[in-house]
Amino acid sequence: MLSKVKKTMELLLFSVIGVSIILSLVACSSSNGEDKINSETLKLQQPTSIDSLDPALSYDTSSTIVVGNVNEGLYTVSPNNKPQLAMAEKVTKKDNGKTLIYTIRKDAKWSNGAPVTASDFVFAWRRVVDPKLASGFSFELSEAQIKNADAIIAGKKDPKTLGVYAEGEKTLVLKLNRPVPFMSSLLSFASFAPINEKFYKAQGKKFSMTSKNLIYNGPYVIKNWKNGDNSITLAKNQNYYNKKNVKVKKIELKLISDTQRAVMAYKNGDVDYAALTGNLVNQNKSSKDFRTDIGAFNWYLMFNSKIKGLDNKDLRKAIAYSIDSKELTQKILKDGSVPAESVVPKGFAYSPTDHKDFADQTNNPYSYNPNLAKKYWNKAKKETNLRSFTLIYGKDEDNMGNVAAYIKSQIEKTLPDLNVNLQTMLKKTRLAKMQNFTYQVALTRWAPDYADPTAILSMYTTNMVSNYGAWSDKTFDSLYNQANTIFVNKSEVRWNALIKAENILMDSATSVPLYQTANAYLLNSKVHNFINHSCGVPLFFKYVYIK
Amino acid sequence: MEVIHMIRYIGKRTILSLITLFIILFILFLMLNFMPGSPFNDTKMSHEQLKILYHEYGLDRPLAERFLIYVKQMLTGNLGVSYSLQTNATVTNMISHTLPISVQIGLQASVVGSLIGIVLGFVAALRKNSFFDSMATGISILGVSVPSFVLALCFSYIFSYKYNLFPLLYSSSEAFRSTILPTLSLCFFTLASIARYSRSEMIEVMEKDYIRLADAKGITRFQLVCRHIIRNAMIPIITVLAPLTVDLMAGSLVIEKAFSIPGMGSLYINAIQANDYNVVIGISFIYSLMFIGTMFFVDLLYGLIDPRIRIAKRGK
Amino acid sequence: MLIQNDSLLDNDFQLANKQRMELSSNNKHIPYIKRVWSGFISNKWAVASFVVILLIVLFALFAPIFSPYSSTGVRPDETNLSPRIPLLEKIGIFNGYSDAVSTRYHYFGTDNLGRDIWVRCATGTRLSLYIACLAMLIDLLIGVIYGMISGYYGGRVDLAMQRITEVLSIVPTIIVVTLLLVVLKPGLSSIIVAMILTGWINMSRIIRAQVLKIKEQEFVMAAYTIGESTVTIILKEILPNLIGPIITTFMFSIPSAIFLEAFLAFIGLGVPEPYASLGSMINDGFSSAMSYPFMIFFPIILLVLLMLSFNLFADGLRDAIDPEINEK
Repeated sequence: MLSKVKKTMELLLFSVIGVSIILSLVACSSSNGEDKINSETLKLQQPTSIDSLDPALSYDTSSTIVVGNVNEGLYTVSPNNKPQLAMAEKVTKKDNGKTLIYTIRKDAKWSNGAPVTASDFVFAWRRVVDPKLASGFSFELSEAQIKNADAIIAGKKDPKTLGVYAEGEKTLVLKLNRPVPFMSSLLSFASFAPINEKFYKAQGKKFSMTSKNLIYNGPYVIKNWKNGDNSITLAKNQNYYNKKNVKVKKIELKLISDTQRAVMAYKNGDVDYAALTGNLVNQNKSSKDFRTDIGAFNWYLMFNSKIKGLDNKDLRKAIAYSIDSKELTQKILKDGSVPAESVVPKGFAYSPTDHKDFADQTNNPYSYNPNLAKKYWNKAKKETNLRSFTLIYGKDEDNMGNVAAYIKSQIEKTLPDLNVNLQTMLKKTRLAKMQNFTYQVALTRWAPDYADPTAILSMYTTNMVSNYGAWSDKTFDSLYNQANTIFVNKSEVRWNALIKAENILMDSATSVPLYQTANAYLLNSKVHNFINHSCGVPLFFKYVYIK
Repeated sequence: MEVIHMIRYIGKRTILSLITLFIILFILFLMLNFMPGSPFNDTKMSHEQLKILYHEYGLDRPLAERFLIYVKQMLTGNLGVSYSLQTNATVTNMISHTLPISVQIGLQASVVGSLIGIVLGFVAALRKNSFFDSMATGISILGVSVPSFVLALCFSYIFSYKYNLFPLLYSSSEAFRSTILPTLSLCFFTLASIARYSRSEMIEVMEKDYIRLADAKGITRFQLVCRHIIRNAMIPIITVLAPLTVDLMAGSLVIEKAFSIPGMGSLYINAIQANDYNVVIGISFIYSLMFIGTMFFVDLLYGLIDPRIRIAKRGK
Repeated sequence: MLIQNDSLLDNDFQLANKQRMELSSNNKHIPYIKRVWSGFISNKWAVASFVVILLIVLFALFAPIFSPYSSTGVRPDETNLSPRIPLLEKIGIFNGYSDAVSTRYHYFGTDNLGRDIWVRCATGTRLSLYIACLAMLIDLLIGVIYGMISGYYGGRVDLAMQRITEVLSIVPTIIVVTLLLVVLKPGLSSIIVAMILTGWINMSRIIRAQVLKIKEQEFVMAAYTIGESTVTIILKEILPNLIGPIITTFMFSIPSAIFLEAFLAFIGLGVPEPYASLGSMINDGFSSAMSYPFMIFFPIILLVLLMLSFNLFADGLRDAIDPEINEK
């Protein structure tokens, strides 16, 4: 018995040491990557699986990428991040910009050889606004101010009354409520892609369920895919009008949800692109394949103005001044994100006159200032009894646990007597709480859908569904409305009105922008023209080449 | 006589299982009803749109009515459609894509784990207090003390990243090879528990009088071990196999996450995060079915192997 | 007729079998506790694991007191520092070298927020042990009551109660746990609720089996015959004999409870920030295992050590309490 115990003891000791060695090996990871890349195939890691390839129902990023590359709308996006005519070869404006006439390319064909016609667009767009389909993208058609879109979405009018008409085979006419300055950016999104009606009807309920139940007019087609696969392969579309300029023959998207595994896969040569998050960004910073682009959205603190105490501007300002976003991004997150300086994120809306970034032109009042924070807090203390609040965050959202803990410690350190309780939940629950206004303060994000400041500012207008702060300001509302109505054709005046609106919003501190994310990734250095777009379809492979 | 009893027993068990399943379903329905938020991708939808959607899918009807409709549909093999994960895909279709791989890994892990575990435990018992015995004890204690996700991390680092022996992630082109590491990391707990249990069972059986008698009768050691000891020791081992196999389902949740295997576990977690009611209910139902099935099967097996139980039942 | 004691003489009775008498006189009465103690102490393995448990508990209780850091104190200037230990750093290990050499001594390094992992490990162990012990105690209470009633009364009561546990045990743990994850408010209490809901059935089964065994023994019969009340029999005759199995069951369930807590944290039902449990620390460290392995290394070692020593300790305790199965 005793000898057995002794031996077991030894063995256990060895085993424990063994596990320790294994774990410490993980520390000194060496790059043993092989260069498996050839000029014809590009393999990309994707963190999420595909939810749907129906253009009207594909919400998550990887679905949007696939749909955006196998279908082409009136516009696409060029490598320098500008909308560019695609299926349309010509556009004419009439009626002060309230009527748009698009001429569809003569050589535009579907993958089964049928020509792409104007009625394909009409069919697809009517489908998006049809309340029976309840597409989450229907709001985009109302943003585009297409006539009757709102009434159709609300179920008050027939989808056939939508302001989109086919005049002959190749002419598409859009009737708008009012001119939209950012129309081309909006129309480059995947949900505006055409659908071949005849093919769609032949598939019935099976439409988009497998690669055989889809039809393509974009630079790529999908090969052998069925719903639920964890990888998807795109091949060059032989019927694409511009196929000689599409360089990469095959694109594989592989689902790898864990970033560490993505990096391992990258170093093994299993993928040529891997997104980085958290500590891996810092660790791979010195790699020659490391790239970083500015991300699409801001994270911010949202205050529910319906809660007594949180409707106090001084209190919100005190909190805004007590958080050091610079420290948060550079010392805690270290993932390339940058402090957010305005509610509208950087890098996607530029002034029409001098091409300056919208976010740079607005006021940035809230840099870390503990003295000012204390001053506002002392003022707020007299006006409200609120001494503690609950901050909610999603546990399934990247780094939010760390961010929330940091904010708690910062606020409690800077503002005496103010307590922050943290509450974690699923993202879905957080959103539900915000929609029902049953929260106090939330860590939340919002990504713009098109390249215009109104994509963000619209959600702060009174009575907007997504106005989760229940904040309301008459001047802000009127400025926003003017920008969309009387100033719509005067780009400079409009721009200044939007800047003014943003400044009012910032001054109210109803939402405190914390930081703007970064898209950090590893990309094989032989891949060129590979651009992460900050809004709309994130990746277009049309111009990518490997050399 | 025995057959009739068996059939009655099976019938009773089946009815009990069905009632349980029904209760589980109802509780699920009730709980999902209290889940915050809608099951749709609703971030940018208006209230009107949501209303239309609720009506479209019949979610605006009273709970009891929905439950009855669901049960009726289920009897025809229809588990409804997904609301947000894979919009409008049928749940049966989604499960049929994900179930095989999960079952494959679970079965591989339980077979490998219990086989190695039994062999390890038996040999350790036969060579009590030898070096091999201490090794087996060490492995079994370590096995129940190291979480499977730690093993997954270690294995994938060494075997696929450092030495490139196995695929790092699940890939359908190398379907079997990519299940090896997940199976290994998953089977360790089963292996350890079975080894520990079978060693002690074996030792207990070896000290029984009938074994001494058989030994005294002068049969060979091989015959003794195979015919008497192993058979008698197997009986209690089978009872622990069932709960262990079911534990594997929980373990597979973590393993699927770690190796990005497109299995039912990851689908389940995603469905819960997205509030996709029908998928959650469908998978819970399948899980419960598998669980009940395993228990049932083991119960029958137990009755077949152990003559004492057969006799006891006949005597009733 | 009653025979007076003093009317009997010493030689009124004679031993029928002398040999047997010698045997029984040899079997001196050793107090139960003493026997268990000597049985336990002779098992070096169990003693060693007990010492390890004791050391870990001491570490969990006192490390935060003697450390200059607090478990929730965010230090943005000291994030992700490698472990640095005085003396050991001189021989080139644990010298705090990572992106920058740390100026302070963080024995186990720091996490993403610059919180000291040594202190967090201590408070994390404390919380994990607390959760495990509390959940298992409640489990035990429910299990003992349920198992005793079911086992003692037998018959219809037993049948009905066994049906209930049978139905409940068919519900897979993973479904119970994941649904609780959605429906309950995340926090300590929901973790404990999840563990209780999944654990008590097993406990009641073990207790029931023991009660069934004890019930058939002579002393219970005797108590029943002399007309003791049910409550007295349960409390005075059965319960004391259950203490051994109860303690061993409890000890064996602690490591699995610790494990379950880690599993829950791994699938997202961990303790909320800024608190730490071993499970939540492992979960946090998992995503940084490649960049900063020390973040996951120490919690894992502690977890494995704890589970190992509890398993071995329970093993030794069972052998000591119930020597019949000693040689298992």
